[in-house]
Amino acid sequence: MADFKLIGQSFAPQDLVAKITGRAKYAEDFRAEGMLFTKLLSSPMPHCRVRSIDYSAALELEGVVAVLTPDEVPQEEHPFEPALTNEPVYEGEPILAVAAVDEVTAANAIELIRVDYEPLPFVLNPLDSLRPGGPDANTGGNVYNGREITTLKWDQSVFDGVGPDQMPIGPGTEEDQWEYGDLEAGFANADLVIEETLYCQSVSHHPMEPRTSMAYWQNGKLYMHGSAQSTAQARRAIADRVGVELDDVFFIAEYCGGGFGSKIRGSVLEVIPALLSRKAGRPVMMRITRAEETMMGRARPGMLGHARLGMRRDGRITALDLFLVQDNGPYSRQGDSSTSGDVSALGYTPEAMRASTVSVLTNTPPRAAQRGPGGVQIVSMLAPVVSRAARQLGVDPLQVHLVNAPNHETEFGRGPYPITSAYVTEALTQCGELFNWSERRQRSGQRNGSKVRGVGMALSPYYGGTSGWDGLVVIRPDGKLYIHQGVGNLGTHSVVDTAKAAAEALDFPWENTEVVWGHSSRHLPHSSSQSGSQTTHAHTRANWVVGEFAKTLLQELAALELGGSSSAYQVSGGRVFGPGGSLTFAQAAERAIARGGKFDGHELPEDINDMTRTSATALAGQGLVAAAKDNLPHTARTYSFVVSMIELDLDLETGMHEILNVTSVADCGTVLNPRSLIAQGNGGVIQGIGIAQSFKWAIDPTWGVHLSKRIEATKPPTMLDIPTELIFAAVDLPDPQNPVGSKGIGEPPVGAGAGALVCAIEDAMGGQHPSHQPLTPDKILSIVENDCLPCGRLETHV
Amino acid sequence: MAVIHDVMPAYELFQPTDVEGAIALLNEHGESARVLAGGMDTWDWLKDRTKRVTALVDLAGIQELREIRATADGVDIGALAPLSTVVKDPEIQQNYSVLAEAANKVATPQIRNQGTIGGNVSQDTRCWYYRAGWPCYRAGGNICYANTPASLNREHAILGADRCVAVSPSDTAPALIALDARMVVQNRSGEREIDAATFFIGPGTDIEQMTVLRTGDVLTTIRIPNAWSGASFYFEKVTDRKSWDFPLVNVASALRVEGGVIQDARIAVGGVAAKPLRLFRVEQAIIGQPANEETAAAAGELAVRGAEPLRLNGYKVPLMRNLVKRSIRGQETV
Amino acid sequence: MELFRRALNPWSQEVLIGVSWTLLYVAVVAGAAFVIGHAVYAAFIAKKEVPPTEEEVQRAAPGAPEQVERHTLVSRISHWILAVAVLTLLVTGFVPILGLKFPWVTIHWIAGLALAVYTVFHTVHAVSKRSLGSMWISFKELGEMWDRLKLVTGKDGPEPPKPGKWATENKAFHHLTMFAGLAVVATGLLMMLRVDTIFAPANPYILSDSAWGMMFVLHGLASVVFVGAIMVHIYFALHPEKHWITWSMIRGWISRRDYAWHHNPSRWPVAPKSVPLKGVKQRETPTPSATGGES
Repeated sequence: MADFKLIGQSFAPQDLVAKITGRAKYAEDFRAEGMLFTKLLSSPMPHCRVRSIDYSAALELEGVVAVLTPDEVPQEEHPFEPALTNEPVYEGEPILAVAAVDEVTAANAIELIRVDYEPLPFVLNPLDSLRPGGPDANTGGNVYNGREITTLKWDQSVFDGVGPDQMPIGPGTEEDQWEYGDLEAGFANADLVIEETLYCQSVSHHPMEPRTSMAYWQNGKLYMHGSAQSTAQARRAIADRVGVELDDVFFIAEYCGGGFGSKIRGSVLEVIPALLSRKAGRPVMMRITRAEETMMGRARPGMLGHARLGMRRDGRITALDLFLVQDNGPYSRQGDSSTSGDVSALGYTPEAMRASTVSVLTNTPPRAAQRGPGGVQIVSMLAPVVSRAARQLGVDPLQVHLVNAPNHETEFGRGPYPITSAYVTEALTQCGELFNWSERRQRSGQRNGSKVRGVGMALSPYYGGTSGWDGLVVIRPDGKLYIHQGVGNLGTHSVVDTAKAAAEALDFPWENTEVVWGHSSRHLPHSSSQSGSQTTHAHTRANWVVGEFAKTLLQELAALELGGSSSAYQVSGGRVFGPGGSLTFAQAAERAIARGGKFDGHELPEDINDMTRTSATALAGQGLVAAAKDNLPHTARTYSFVVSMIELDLDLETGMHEILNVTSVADCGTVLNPRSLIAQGNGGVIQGIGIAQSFKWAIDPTWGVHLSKRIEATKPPTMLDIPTELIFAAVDLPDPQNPVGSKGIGEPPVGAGAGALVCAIEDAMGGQHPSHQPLTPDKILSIVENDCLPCGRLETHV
Repeated sequence: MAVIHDVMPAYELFQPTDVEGAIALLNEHGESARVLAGGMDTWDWLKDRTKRVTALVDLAGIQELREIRATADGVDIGALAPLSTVVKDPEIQQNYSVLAEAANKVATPQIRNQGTIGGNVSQDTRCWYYRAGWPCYRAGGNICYANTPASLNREHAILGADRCVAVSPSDTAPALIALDARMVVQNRSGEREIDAATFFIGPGTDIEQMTVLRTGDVLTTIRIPNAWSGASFYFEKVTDRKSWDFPLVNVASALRVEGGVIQDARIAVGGVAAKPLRLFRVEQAIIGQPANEETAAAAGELAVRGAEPLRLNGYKVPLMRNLVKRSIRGQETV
Repeated sequence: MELFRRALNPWSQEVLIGVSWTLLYVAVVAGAAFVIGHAVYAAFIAKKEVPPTEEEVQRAAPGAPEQVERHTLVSRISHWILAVAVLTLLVTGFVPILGLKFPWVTIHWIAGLALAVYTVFHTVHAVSKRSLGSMWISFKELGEMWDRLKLVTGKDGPEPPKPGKWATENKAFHHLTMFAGLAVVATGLLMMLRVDTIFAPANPYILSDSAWGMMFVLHGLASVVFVGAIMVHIYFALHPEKHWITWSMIRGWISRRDYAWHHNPSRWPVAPKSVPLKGVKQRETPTPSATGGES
């Protein structure tokens, strides 16, 4: 491993104290002179049309200042999502907003509004929409192919002879089908062919902080306090959504109380306070409640599917035939089902594979990528199938994973796609040792009274990073290094951790470094959003590149100032030194300002993004200004991997389980910040365990109305669900296509945690398990007692 | 008129310092007033605008209602005693541990600090159709949305349903029934004591109420007699997750066993009917029987006789059967 | 006054859920007003009718037996079953609304089923005995009723002739309760589908919200009509002037004197050999006008 001073060290990020002491201000904490509050009138029906609306009484209520209607908000063709609509496609979709002096007045005003709704046909389960004559979630159709809405109905013959608990398999959408290898030969070569109906539920993101926002206008410019996983990307999205120039938007989001993918580019709802504020001529705060967050926040798409898997006696997976129907929600097409194919192709490297998927619109809350989108669903659905096949062939599940493990040379899936690195064998081995797999596995199936021991594991691959973003640093005359970050501050620490690459490249002491983020007026570079686990990889690269570029500038500057060739100068410890003597960074900053040109930002590289150029230009003359685009080679796909192993006791009399140990090991390249990694890794594993264990939606099938709007009913895992023995480690081996060796780690732990829990329960039940997440006691007991589920196997939102 | 939830409306808050003051206020404001204890149930209703009041009578300022006092005959628990205080009370831990255990299983540590034992037994049902403000029987309408061929009724009743299939959500209630606790209720005509098992009522008796408490009543004290002091206790609660969850089913029992034979017994089950059920029939059947697996198994079978599951709650039958069995033979024995 | 109870359904649409229970009090007040009005009239205003002498009886109904059959055994049994059912329905339906709570639903639907069975039996019986016509109110009878009303209100006019077996008022009461009864039975049977019964599990979604709203309104309206009607019915049953009718509903017959006094033998001829009391089997030649249709 390279000899780094900062990379690989545990650090407390700069914002930690403010967060812990409560000094950190989130969007909801801001106040502005004359600020109004808004409350939303939202659709009571899953799909309807507003025939008429009378808000005159609301406007007459004392304290009410303005009303914003769909006609005043940019409306685009479905499936693009407007901020307010006259044709809601999910229950809880906002129709109208009232701004008043306080929330109670605004809510009282809402109660005075008379609305006449025309109910329209609605659909909650995608299979219902695929039936001949089935309802469509949108008046335009039921499938969005990425360009337009079309209608897809399967022939009646697809459903004929298929039992209520069997997955009907019809044609997928054309662009969502691929295969490689000889599938039938794969099945013929298998010693066991196993088939299974697959099901994974939809779950809300439910970050701690709802998507609250506050907006006001000054001199024609919009100031927006919001909550987002990116500053740079969210600002651009706000400008697009509100319909103003990028330069007329200031976006302030220093802290983000979590997003899990639901706030990648902020929220479409931000349009409401923005336009309401412009109309009322006063600042407007829109606080989103938890129940609203369930509806208007985002959610992971659920899936229904079928898998046919062939396995050889040695555990090698010879063929995988995967069919998935995705519960897409009402708006834009989610990539989960397509990613599911990639993830299973990479995680199990089947000799031959076919994937066919279709994503169907439903009148349920809108979806968005959720931490490990597609990966979590497929790992938790497929891992127990692999586990069951291993049981039937008498192969150890760890052995199965080792036999099928991808490596650096693997080219996977539909591409086939090469990958940058895969230390999967190392991760599996290390996890097996840490967990003591072979010993614990001995206890599998042991009975103690009504309890039975289960031991399970899962491997979860996920995208680990993008490239090509920009870095921007300034060395000022105060001698400090200012690293500008356009990514958000999601809570993952990556806004700070990735900045370290710039300091590392400059061999600069961390205590003199300032990370600049969270406010678009602070001149931020074109950065990725904190999504898709790309930040770690993308911005260690961008910051390394800009650090190296700053180093070059320093060397050139020193050569000019002190004499000699630039290559003879070294940069370390806040100084540039060489044959002609040395300059401190403070001195170098002053000399850079004096010389101007490329040294202080007045001349910039050609290839940087316009946003970076604008920011760097604004900073020009304030010190040594370096802006650079990440042009390092990135010739393959970057993937990270997490393997989790779980041992638990399942009580067959109550259906409850007690997790005894969870051990996970990641291949996420070089570890940036061990402490952050453990927090991030275990957080993801627990999130996954929660999805497999209790997290769910309940939507009444008759009315299409959500019944679990509160966290108490939707049941994410709590602090007390966290097992006491919880271990997270990493192989800590470098990825060759990242200058510091790092890959992303945000997402793969979720699938690993979910998959390992499902497999441990599958193991405890001797292979006879619900296959219907979450694995709540009612389902476990129904299987134990009657060998069937209480609900239908393909029943959604139950 | 449009409907909006989740925004607390304005109301007048009264903070009396004695019970008489509270009762006077409740009588003054009648149906438009509501008693506030810890607020863990009340604030939900108000915030959702599904139940409206103009006056909220907050009992938190009545110090005597917060105290737990050992008496000659047992222990008197003030209705406003926070659940966490009940959990930690040495007398309760020592002699009536089933109550401490039950209270300790309620929701989360934070909610146990805020929620009171009086509130825990008087709380409304958690049926999500009812709490969503749908016009069901319990809300004065004439339909049960939870009992239709398509309803989501995994959490609902298997016993004692009458049009409404909601269940009692309380964890402390079965424990109090197992302890033969008595509820002391005060109103302007004086004080009365009600047996815990009859304090709770089902929809057949009054479909809009969970307990016998009526407008103007204040539950002041929960009186635990020493009859079961130091008995052999059992409490178990089955949930989807480890905290912040209402019981799918819970069970509390108190047994007197001598020479391996059950001398006397109390068993109560929550989460299966609109009120916590005291299992008189089972108690009678096991008295005089050896405290063993066979008795326990037979008791479990007897307990669920007559159960009528709905679409999604059939699992509650084996669950209740198993929990009653465990309440007699314990969890760990094979 | 609000006539209906409304609620917002899960889609925030206003739906009818029944009649306002204020109507119950309206029915009670109306029933009571009639009862009091009639009692006052009967006690202070109405001219006391003098019972006919034996001679007059003999003259009016020369061939009539001592005991004239008015209600067959079957009719009487079914009347009292009906009475029990209706009273049970009213008590179980309304008492909980008045505030006394008890588990009423099962008793209510069982009593309702009894009422439904009665309705079917009665209809079949009436049709099979071809006695439908006996309850027909002719224009002539309406005219007579008008004349009687004029006399009651103190106006001059001809004394209307006495009725046949059934007074027009009896027939009117029959029709009122028949329509109300059919309405409660039909709606009630459907409403059984909303709760779990031994016949079917609950399924309130068989009809739409608005259709159910109409069912509840109809059921409620008919029920409050029953409240008023039954109050008046019971009042007359207890009124000393009508005891001869009440007794006939127990014993089955009326005396020859009452027959001659209250009825027009030409409109209700009875055979001299008619033997009372032993019930329907012994009656040999029931004339269409002498059976069925009562209660």
